[in-house]
Amino acid sequence: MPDDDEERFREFVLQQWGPLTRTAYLLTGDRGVAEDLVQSALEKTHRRWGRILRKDAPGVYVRRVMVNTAVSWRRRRRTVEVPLLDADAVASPDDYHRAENRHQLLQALRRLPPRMRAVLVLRYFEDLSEADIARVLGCSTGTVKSQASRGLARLRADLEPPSTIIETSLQEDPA
Amino acid sequence: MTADVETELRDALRAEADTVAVMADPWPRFRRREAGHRSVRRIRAGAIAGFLAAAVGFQTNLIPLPGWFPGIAVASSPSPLADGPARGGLAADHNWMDGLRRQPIDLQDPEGWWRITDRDAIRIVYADDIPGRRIALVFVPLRLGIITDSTLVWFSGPPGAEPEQMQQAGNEPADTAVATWMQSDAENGGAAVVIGPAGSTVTISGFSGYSPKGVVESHQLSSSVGTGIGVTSLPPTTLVGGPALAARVTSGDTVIYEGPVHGGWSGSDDSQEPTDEMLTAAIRDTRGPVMDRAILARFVGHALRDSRLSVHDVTIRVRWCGKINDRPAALFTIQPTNGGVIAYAIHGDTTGWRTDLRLLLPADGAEQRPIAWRMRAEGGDTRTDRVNVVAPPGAATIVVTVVEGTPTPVTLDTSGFGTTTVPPDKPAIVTAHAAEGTTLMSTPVPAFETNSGGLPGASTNTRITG
Repeated sequence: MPDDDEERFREFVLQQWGPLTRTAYLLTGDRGVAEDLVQSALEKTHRRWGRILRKDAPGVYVRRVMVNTAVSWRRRRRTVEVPLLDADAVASPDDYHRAENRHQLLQALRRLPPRMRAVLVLRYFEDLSEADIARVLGCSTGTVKSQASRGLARLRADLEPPSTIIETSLQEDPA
Repeated sequence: MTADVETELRDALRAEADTVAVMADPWPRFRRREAGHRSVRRIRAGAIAGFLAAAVGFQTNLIPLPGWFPGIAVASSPSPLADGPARGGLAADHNWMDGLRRQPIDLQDPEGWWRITDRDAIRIVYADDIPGRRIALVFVPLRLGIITDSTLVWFSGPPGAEPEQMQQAGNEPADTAVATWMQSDAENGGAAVVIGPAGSTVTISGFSGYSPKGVVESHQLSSSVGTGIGVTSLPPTTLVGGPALAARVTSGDTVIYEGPVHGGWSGSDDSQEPTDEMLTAAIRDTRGPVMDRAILARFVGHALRDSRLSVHDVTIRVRWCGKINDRPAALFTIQPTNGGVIAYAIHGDTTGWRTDLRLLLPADGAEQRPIAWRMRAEGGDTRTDRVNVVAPPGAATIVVTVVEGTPTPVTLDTSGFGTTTVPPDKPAIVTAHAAEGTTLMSTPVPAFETNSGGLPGASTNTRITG
């Protein structure tokens, strides 16, 4: 890295480590893998730091590397057993049910295909625009829109009683 | 829930993300792990040149090699922590230890799969029940193609966990002299473990604050003599970035490690950037053209996180604004209530900046001190002889005196800023004089920081007291 600013990269690591680790965890569902993923993405960014500073936004670049790596890495840990949702359960506003709903929603998110999951995490956790998500994933904004729409539809379907699942799936997730 | 799945998803993601512990200062560990990976890449590049196409398959572990196949050892393989028998309260539980040896799994990184080829060679460095959980440090030999290496893997689980309940909780280079682990959250607290070589003495202390005399105050949390193991429980804390722990590991008169305890902390990630009202008060007496508020807020926010101070509990004073290397620059101080004063000099912008100075000063007379800081080359780490100086209010002249040298006057501009040269390795002092020639105050020109991790004032290069 001949003339690059090591200090700027250090500051970049300090700024980005926390947000990246949290995003990586949401993408992978595993804290250990998340940390390895962030380490790997930052190392790759470091190797091209000078070029990235000149030609790219470092925040977008490191997320592109991280998401692409997350998508391509094979799962290497046992998956957590997900209990089936009791279709007769009545939605309740109390804390217990809120926590349970949240748990179910996150489990449903983790069942999505990796790129679809990445779109939703970048959109609803990182608050990235569709254009920025497209830059991170290297695809068109149209693809981002359709992936987000299908992802949300699958989440709804996963969390609805069985009759609604069929209806939603037929309408919004023909693939 | 389905009425607004987007809102539910947003809330769920944020709540889940808040449970993730992140390191307050990830840089030292990042650099260590990166250095290890670079070493492997260099060795592999040389090896591949010899083995040509066949090696490509072996090297990525697409073609698995048997465990007995000779490999090229990476220099970092031996572990000073794995010498001797297993340590900790679970060391005598042979069934449990045997079970834990079955838990490490192959590790993947972008270079390929690191395979565990000889499970009998896995060694438990430490295993014990600590407050709130069961923890273990395991030495794992690995192979990536023809390269052999090893790593230390932390495992943690609930109190009394069976081996299969233990989950990987981070890894460290095998050649590290001291391994640290910490897990804590804002509501429940947590625990920390420091493992040094067998027979060493380990002391763990926690950050208490910056004293008005200009020193970092800490309180001892645990000390063990001769075991090489330090363990402490951590109460809930409201400290910015979580508990700031330091460890000192010694063997006889030799200091093996003195530095921060790395680990994870989860809690709210509140911004420490000052409000517009705070900045208005902070720049009341600023000399020089006041910089863009957004940049100044970013600089101050960074300094507050670095010093683990809350924006709500400090007084901020921007002493000088200007340009350094054609980029916006500021010298400002932050002072916690009834505490010492920390000076920061930073230049850059909102997208990237460089911290040129971190200096803890005694509260008494801090505003009257001249402050000088050495500069590294822009865009690199090379130490230069350039020294920047900012005069205090009321100073007419500034001189910089290199050890065993004569005082050299510094030409000041209208903002009280000037530059001079000092050999990078020579101690120096900066002195302010009033118009009639009386000495107002002197301040040492701090040496270059060698490791910007840790708190300002924790090293002699970042304080002037003691």
